[in-house]
This record gives sequence, C-alpha cells and structure tokens, in this order.
Amino acid sequence: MRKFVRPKSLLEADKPRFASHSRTAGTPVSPNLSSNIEQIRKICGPENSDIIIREFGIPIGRGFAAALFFVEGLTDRFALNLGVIQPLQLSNCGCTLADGDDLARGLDASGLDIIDYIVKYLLGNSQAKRVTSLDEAIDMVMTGESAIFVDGVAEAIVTEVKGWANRGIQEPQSELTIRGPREGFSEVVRFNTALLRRRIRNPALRMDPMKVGALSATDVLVVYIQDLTNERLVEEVKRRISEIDIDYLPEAGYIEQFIEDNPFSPFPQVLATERPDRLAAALAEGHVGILVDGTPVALITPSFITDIYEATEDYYERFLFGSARRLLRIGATLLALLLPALYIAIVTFHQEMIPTPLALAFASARQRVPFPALVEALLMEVALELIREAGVRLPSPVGQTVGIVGALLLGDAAVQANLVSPIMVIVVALTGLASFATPYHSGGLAIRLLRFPLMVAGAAVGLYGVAAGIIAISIHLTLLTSLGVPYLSPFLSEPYDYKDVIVRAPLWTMRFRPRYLRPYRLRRQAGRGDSR
Amino acid sequence: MTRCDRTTSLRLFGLTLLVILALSLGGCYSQREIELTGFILAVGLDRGEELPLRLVAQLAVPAAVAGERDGGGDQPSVLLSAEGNTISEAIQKLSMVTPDRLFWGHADIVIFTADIVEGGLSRVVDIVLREREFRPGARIYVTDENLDELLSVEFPTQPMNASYIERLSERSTSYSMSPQAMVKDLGCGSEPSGCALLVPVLNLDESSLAGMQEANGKTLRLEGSAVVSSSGLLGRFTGTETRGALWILGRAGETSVALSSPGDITGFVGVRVLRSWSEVTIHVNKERIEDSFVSVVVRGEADLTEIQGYQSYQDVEDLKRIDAALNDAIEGEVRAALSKARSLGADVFGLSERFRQSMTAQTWQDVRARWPVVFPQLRIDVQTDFRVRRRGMTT
Amino acid sequence: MKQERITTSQLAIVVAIAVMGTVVLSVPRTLSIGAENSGWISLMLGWAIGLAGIFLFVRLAERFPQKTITEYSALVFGRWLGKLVSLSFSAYFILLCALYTRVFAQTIVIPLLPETPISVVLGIFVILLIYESHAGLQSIAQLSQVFIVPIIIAALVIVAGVAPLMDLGRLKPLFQPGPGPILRTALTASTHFGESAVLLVLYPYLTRRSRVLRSGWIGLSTALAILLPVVLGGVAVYGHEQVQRLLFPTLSLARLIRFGGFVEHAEVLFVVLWLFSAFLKVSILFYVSSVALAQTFDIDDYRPLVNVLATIVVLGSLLPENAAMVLELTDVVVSYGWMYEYGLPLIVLLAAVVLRKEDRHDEV
Repeated sequence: MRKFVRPKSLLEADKPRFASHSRTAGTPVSPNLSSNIEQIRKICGPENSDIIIREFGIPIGRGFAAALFFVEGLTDRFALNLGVIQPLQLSNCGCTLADGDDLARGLDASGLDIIDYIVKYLLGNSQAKRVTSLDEAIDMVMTGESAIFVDGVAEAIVTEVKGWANRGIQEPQSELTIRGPREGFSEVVRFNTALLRRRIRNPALRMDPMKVGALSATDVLVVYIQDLTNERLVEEVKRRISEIDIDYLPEAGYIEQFIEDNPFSPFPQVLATERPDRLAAALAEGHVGILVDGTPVALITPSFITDIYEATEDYYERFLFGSARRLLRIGATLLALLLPALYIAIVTFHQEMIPTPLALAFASARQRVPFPALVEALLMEVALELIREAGVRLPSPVGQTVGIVGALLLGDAAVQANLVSPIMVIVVALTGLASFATPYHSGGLAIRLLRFPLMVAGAAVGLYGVAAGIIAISIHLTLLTSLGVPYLSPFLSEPYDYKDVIVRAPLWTMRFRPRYLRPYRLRRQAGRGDSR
Repeated sequence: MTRCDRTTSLRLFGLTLLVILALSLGGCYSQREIELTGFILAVGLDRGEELPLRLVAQLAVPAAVAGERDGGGDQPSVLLSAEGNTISEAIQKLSMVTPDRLFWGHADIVIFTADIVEGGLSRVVDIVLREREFRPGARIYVTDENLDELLSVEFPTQPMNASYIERLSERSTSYSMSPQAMVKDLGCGSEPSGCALLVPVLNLDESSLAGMQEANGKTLRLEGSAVVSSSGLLGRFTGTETRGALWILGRAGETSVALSSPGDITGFVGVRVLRSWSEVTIHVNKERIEDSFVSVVVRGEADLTEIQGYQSYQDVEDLKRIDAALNDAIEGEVRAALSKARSLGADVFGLSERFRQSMTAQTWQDVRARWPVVFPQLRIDVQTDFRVRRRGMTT
Repeated sequence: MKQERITTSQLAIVVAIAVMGTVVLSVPRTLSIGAENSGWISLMLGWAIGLAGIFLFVRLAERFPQKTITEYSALVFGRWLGKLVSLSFSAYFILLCALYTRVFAQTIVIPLLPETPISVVLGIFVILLIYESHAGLQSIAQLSQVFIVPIIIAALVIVAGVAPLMDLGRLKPLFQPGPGPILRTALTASTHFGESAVLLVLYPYLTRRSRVLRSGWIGLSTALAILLPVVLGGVAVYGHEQVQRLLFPTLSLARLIRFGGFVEHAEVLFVVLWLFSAFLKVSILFYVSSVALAQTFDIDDYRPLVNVLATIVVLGSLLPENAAMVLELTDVVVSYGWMYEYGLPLIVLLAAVVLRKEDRHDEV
C-alpha cells in the first residue's frame, strides 16, 4: 500500500517492520518459571516501568512457585488482589503442608493438573484462558489481562482483570441534541459495544473483531446484523480493513481514509458518529458499523449524500417538524455552498436581477471598497474560516476573545475601514450561519471547501460559471461510490425510498428498509396491503 | 480498492481540477463592478432639435439614494440628455460624458413626448425588444411637457422622481382614470391590423399641492390616455373616457363614481366600485361583415360611500334607484369611450383580434383590408349590471 | 464490454431529456413559423409520430437485444455497407451535437454574458462534456434523474407565471393555416421526438428488457408534457406573429414574470436551469455518437475517442458565422432530420426481416 518515501541512507539502516500482531505460534511457555520470567524480561525490557512481574507461592502440596505478570494501570488492582493473588496464596487455608502433598497426588489421580485446579476451584475471576504460547500471553497482557505462570507447567493462565482510567460515558460534544439519548461513545471499545448491545438485544448483532496496527494492535470491530446486512458489504469492509498494514492506528479517521472509495473527493464516504443511537439505527437499516478502540468515534458505511444534512433528531421529532427542519437544513447546506458565489455572480454580471432599490444600495455600499467583489468575498470568507479555526482549539476562557475579535473583524470595523461593504458582511455572516447548521461536520467541511472554487467560477463567468461548477460537482457525485454503492443512491432509488430523502415521512409509512443497501430483510414494519 | 480504481479516481480528480481552472481562466469579459455601474431609472424620448431623436436619461446617484450614512447626498438623480439618429447613437453620446458604464436594465419608466409619438413609434420600439438589457415590462407614458422638467419633479414623501412616477402609476391605475401600458404592448401597435394602444398621459400639475413653496410647487398628474398606433398618435381619451374603455376591457380597478341626485335624494351620491368584470361577445355575420355586431356586458359590485342631503333610511327601493343611476353613469362612460374610439378609428378594445380569431385566414385577409371602414360603423350593444352591495356603517 | 447499466425508468428520463433538452426554449418559434397558431396541434402530431418511432426502434432492437445498431447493421448488411450505415448514424448525432452546442453557447451568451467571446463559453462546456463522457452512461443517467425534477418545475413555473397574461383566444381559429402546413410542421416536430433514436444504442445497456416500449413512450410523453404548455403559453401570450420574431420565446415568457417585485429578470434563472437540461441532452447525443463510432471502428472502449470527437464538435459548432446562419441551419436539420431518424431504422428493420437476420440470444 502507501508508504512514506524515506531517504535512502535511512532505508538501509532500516530494521524490518514490526511483526504482525497474530503471534499465536511463537515461543512456547517454558515449564521452568525462571526461564519464563527471563524471557518476558527480555521481550519487555529489563526496566520497563509499567510491566510488573510478581512472584509468589501457591501453598498446595509441596507448594508451587508462581508469577503473576500484568501491566500496571491497565489492570484493576482490586480484581488482581482479591480475585487472583488472594485465592491462590490462601488456597491452603486449613491444610498442612504434608496434606498438601496428598492433595497434589490426588490432583494427579483425578486427572486434574494444577492449572486446571486453579482455573476450576481457586481463581475468582469470570474469564480465564489457558495459553501455551508465551507471545500470545504477552500480547494479551498488553491489552490489560494478567498472566499466571506456575513453575513446572508449560502453560499459562490468562485471566481478565482489565480496568483502567476512562472518562466514562458522556454526552457527545460534536452531536448535541435536544431530544434523544445523551449517551455518547467513549474511548473504551468494550463500553461502546455495551452501549450498542443495550440497544440491539439480539444475538444477530455481530461484532467481528479484527486487529489493526502491528505496534498499536488496536481492536477494530466490524459491527453488523446477521441475516439483515448484505454480506457483500460486510465482506468488503473486512477485506478493506484487513488490507490495512500499518504500524500505528491512532484513530478511526485512519480506517476511514484507508477504506474510502475515492480519497480525492471532498465528500465524506464514511459517516462518523459519536452517538450509539445513530449507529444502532444505521445497523438496523442495513449499514455496517466499525468500532475502533481508543476513540469515541464509530464509523458507519456505506454513507450517502443525505448524511450531510440528516440528523438523528429528524426521527425523534414528530414528522412535520422533522421534515421542516430537514428542509431548512437542506436549504442551509445549499446556501452555505452557493450564496457567496451567487452574490458575486449577480453583483458583477447580472445586475438586472436585483430589484432597483437594492441595486442602488449595493452600488452605494460598494462605492468606497477598493477591491473587486471576488477579492472582498475571499477576504471575508477566509477571515471567517480563520475565526472558526482559531476558536476550535482554544480553551473556553480564551475562546471568548476570539468571538470579540471576530465580531470586530467581520463587523462594523471592517466596514468603517472601507475594507468591505456592509452587504458583504451580511452575506458572509449568513454563509457562516448556514454552514453551522450542517449537522455532519465532515460533510460541512466539503461544503466549505467547495464554496471557494464556486466563488472563483462565479467571478469569472457569472451564473454560467456557477452552473458549470454545479454540473462538475454533480458529475463527480455520480461517479462517487461508498463501499461500491453509488453515493447518490437515495436520490436514484425506487420512489418509496424518497420518503426519507428530502422530507422525513411519518414513521408508519416507512415500512421498508432502504432498498439501495440491498438488505436481506426488506420489511421493517408490519403493514397492510404490502406484497413484500 | 484496486489499483485500477485509484488511477481512475485520480484521473477524474485531475479533470475536476481542470474544470475549475478553466472556469477561472475564462476571463472576465462581461464583468462589471456594481459600483462602476450607472443605473438609469427612467428614460424619456423626444424629437431632437438637430437630430431626429433626443434621449433623456435619469441616472441614479446611489450614494444620495441609499446614503443616510454620510448625511445624504443632495440630489438623488441627475438628468442626462443627448441627440442622435438612433437611440444607440444617443446612448453612445451619453457614455462620453459619464464615468460609469450606463446600465439600462433598471429603467422601469419610458416616457414619450406627444411629438415623437406623432411620428410613429415603430422606429424607437425595436431596440427595447431586441436589446436584452431593456425591460419589456417597463411602463410607458406619453407627455405633453418638457421631459427635463417632468423628470425632475419630486414629491415630499417620494424624494426620487422615478419612484414618484412608479407609485403614482400604481395608485392612479387602481383609480382607473389612466391605463397601464408596457413596452412590450407597443408590439401590438406595430401590427397593421389597426390595433391601437391606450397609453397613460403624464403631465405636470400646479394646482394640487397646497402650500408647497419649495421646488417649483409642481406635481405630476396622471390622467387620461393617448391612443397610440403604428401610424402615430390617433387622439386622446379624457379620464372618464379612459375609465369607460377600462370598463370594457375589464381592467378597471377600485374607483369612485359620483351620481347626481338619484331618485328622491337631492344631493350627490358617492359610490365606490370595488370590482368589475366585462364580457365582450362578437356576433360575426359571415356574409356581410358590416352587419356583425358586438355586445358588451359589464358587471360589478359597489359600496355606498356618501350621500349628500339628509335621508333617514334607504330602503330597498332607494338602493335600487341608486343602482339604476350607477348603471346609467357607467353606461354613459362606456358609450363615451366607444364613440370616442369610433371617431378616432382606434380599436383600443382589441376587437380586430377577436374577429380574426373567429374566421378563417382567408376571410380575415379580406376583412382586415376593410377594417378601418368597418370598425367605426360596427354596432356595439352595451349593457351594464352594477349592484350596490354595502352601505357602510350607517343605515 | 457492456458493463454500464441503466434501468428502464432511467431510460424514460434520458429519452425525455434527449427530446426536449435544448428545444424547449425555441420550439414555440419554429412551430409558429410553420403552423402559425396551430403549432401545438403539429406538436401533438409529431408526438404521435414519435410514439410510432419508438415502437419501430424497440421492434428493431428486440431482434438483436445484445447489440447496438452499429453492431447489427454490420450483421444485416454485411461488413462494409454496415460500417457505412453505422458511420452515418454516428455522424448524424455528431452533427446534432455540434449544432446544439452552438445553440447552447449562443443562448448562454445572449442573455447571460453579452460581452464574452463564444469560445470561452464553448471551452467550459466542452470540458464538462469530456468529463461527463468519461464518467459514462451511468453518470449521465443519474444526473438526468436528479436534474429532471427542477427542469420540469422550471418549465411549469414559467407557464404558470404568465398564465394571467394568457389569452387563449389567440389559439383560435383552430387549424387556421390549413392541413398542409400543420402536417409539414408536424414532421418538423417529429424530428425532435425522433431524437429518441438514442434508444438504438442504449438498448443493450438496459438492466431489464421488459417494458422498454412503455418507458420510451413515457419519456416522449414527459417531453410533450413540457413542450406543449410552453408552445401554448408562447402563442397565447405573445400571439403567433410576435412569437415568430422572438429568438427564444420561452425566455421572453420568463422575462414577463416578476416574483413579487423581488427577483427581476427571472429569465436569467431559467437560462441557468435550461443550461442543465441542454448540457445533459448534448451529453446523451455525444455519448451515443462516440459509442457508435467506437464500435464502427471495432474499438472496445469509446473513451479514447472522446477528446477527438469533442474537438470535432467544438470546431463544427464554430463553423456558422452568425446567429442567423445557426438559425437557418437548425431549421434545415429540423425540417429533414425525421427522414433519417425514422428512415434508417425502418430500412434496417425491413432488411433484417427480409433477410431473416436476428440474434435473440439474450443474457442479462
């Protein structure tokens, strides 16, 4: 796939890449405890500060030397103390050492070995697994489990004691709603699966695990509903994810950028969401979801052009208001895309279209501005984008300053300085406001970016240029696919799918899932008079 | 995703870039910055002193119109004028003196002097229909006055001459004493079928504005109409005759009629007609076109607005008498309009078109030749049916 | 080879746009010149001829469901004669493309960009055309599907907007010019409907071959439903004598609309909307001719030809010296185009029936 081009000298000094994460067939666990410990210290480094190896004894029979191997911070201290170490250390409570020998013999006689005994009778944890590969044990410890090695046995017990600091379940900051659940995904993928499973309590909800990143070994779950989601979509997602060969996977955005169909398109072909309810609804429609550990963002694919302006609230509000607000948002999206371009085109080419009093007002307002309309518009649009960009990362006490500066820049001061005309300020402010109304951030980015070439086109050949730009964008959109499904599918599908495209029809009319996703079960509601 | 797909998408991405580049390299041929545009709001056409045409254009001064910000300008508009053999020549001459690019797309008012109408309008109309900048929906007027004076009259509440004329036109049309005509209607006047157009007459008035010392104390008055055809100015309709014609055309709006002492009532009675409809039926006699006749039925509803002279209570009979008087008055106006049209030989009612529609093309060729003779002798039956529906807050 | 697929409903839309794409602006004039105030009758007759034409095209295509006209004309007439036929087919559509491209550029220049050289407008247009042709049939079909809604709405808004100004009496007397001119004009109108011959190339690309006839008819009727009100409205508002003098009667109608004194010169907006439909129409014709040409020369993919053909179209569109010449040329093509559009498929069908040539082997 794609790699960075590195200088040749570096390349020569380059070691081979990190081995892939699946190392089940690596070094076996040695029966000798000290050699195991030595091996672990060798692999993990002698002074790796968060790697803890705790040696202790199991007072059964003649006694077993044992070691507990875990990563501090990834494990729950109480679970380790009470569920693992304590039961093992106190396993001989009430027995003499001599009896222990009998017990040990008895173990042998009953066909149980010490590992079996520990797993069956001693360990106070819900999950435990026996592994024979040292590398596998190490990999699992890296995910927050703990491994118990017992001297004399060529096996290790890996038991679940995960527990690390997390920020818990909070309201998703990027997708606020007035109505609807406040839960958002968090960075821990297991919490996220729980949030999802709580919404779809059916074994058909599948979460197929994959690991991406040789170094990061990030958990990636492909989520779908068995016998509903088209398998070709699921297979395609899995194939694309499995083709990702990368050392470090920091965020779901990496997955998105590796699996999208057209990386050069400004339009997002994967929908990112922080809302479990949105993901669950998408799954129930037949989409495929991707959960990535370490990020609160889940991916929904395939994604369509409608995702740019659709919001979950459309479905929670009653249909009249859902539809009205969706129409408003469609209008806002178009406004954000076209308004500056149309303003430039009309003001510099088609002045006959403006009503006379307005035309005179425009003319007098522009009289003192030294720039042509395009430069004026670019100036203001760039200023707007700057304010937005500056405001994103500032801590909120400082953030207010940006607002004040912005108000000065985009307001009366700029007009007083004869840099821009008051009408331009209104146009830019309206554009900004309209682009804030786009619910999907990545979609909004596409709109904001495409605005600029359209403005240039409008300034070059007026409305013809704007129209040509729209045609070019439209052709691009017809070529675009998401996971092989045409991006414009909602507009091209059978008429009944239109119920959820421009307006949001009453829920009881939406008896079928969108046909363009080719779900195995089309009907989602009981209804009269339908043949399918 | 296969490699092949990637190259395709890359190529298409390149094409998209090319489109955008091409757009930006397109050049800015038709571009004109709005602040460098001189907006013409009204146009007047007169016979020139040296050359056949004189063009008067009212150029808006945007800063003065929109600009309270800097204390406002002095004059919201200036008048430019030039003479030429063609209108384009005159425009060319105007451009030599103005720094801005003159823009005619906002000229909503076109005023012809009676002088130029008499010479026939066909030669001045073409540019308005051909040149895309002009508005075919612009209102036209005929005036007897000096254009420069007419186009600089202002009214206290409407500081701009152009908007003054525009509002005046909207108001007085609704009082039905003058018609509305657009540039595109002049196309009819150029047809040889004898069709004629009623164009409102816009003149100066010195009487109405009481106590106005400033300016020159003059206002505009929009009343009556001029009858314009391809051959020139056929004549004038007075205000009431115009209203008579509008009754027939079904284009009369809300308008007041004064009735003198109907029935027992001693004084005048004021009635406001709210709406009216007309129905023109032609009865063609195929053998002898001269024996054809036209019947006109005008219907309408009215309000009683005032009664002079004390009358305690109007019963149904009283109202009927008022109805009768109203119908008489309107019928009188209609007949006045008809006889004026006959005497001028001006078919302002579009009757020729109705005749054409009712016969074959061959017959019409024949009739068209004789139309100027046929029309003045055409029998036209008039019938009116107006009812007073309401009588205000008193009984 | 035929990986691109369109559905039957997309076919209906493509046919509708191929028929009315460009002519919606000028059709009241051409019909008024020929048939005075009975242009609408001619239009209906032309539509009827078009329906019969679709029947002919579908019957022909059904004999060779896997092949385009270029492929089976070789089968029917033999290699060289067949090549000649398909070459002429491709050339005819190239001619139409060039003509409509010029009309397009002119229509943009006159109301929108009066001072801009026509080559700038053409340049942008042709780049879009190349882009769209590379994008392929599916893209054209999808775009048509998305844009037909605003196009229809725009046409209806124009007619509804001028409805108060209409005087339907102007349409009387019916059959004013007599049967001769009406029939002659009907043939002219049938040339527009005959552009549905694109079906002869598009047929093998259909996902399903059932109800093709029906969707072709729906396409033609959609076109009629847009053209008829425009023709009626043009004559009813302006009268047929004045319509004959107007270059774009439909735009002149739009010039009369004022949206509550807010938007003036609304025709600019309609030109912009018309631009989409005209672009799509030229794209369809261009796609058809480049596919036909590629198959004539046994080239697997038409895409390498696109750039060359686009250049030919542009150069061809620049040939007429002035607007009057374009007008005359259009009139000539429109007056005689029907002979070719219906004649050629008829001859091929007759020959195929007589020679008993068919290839009904169909796999979808």
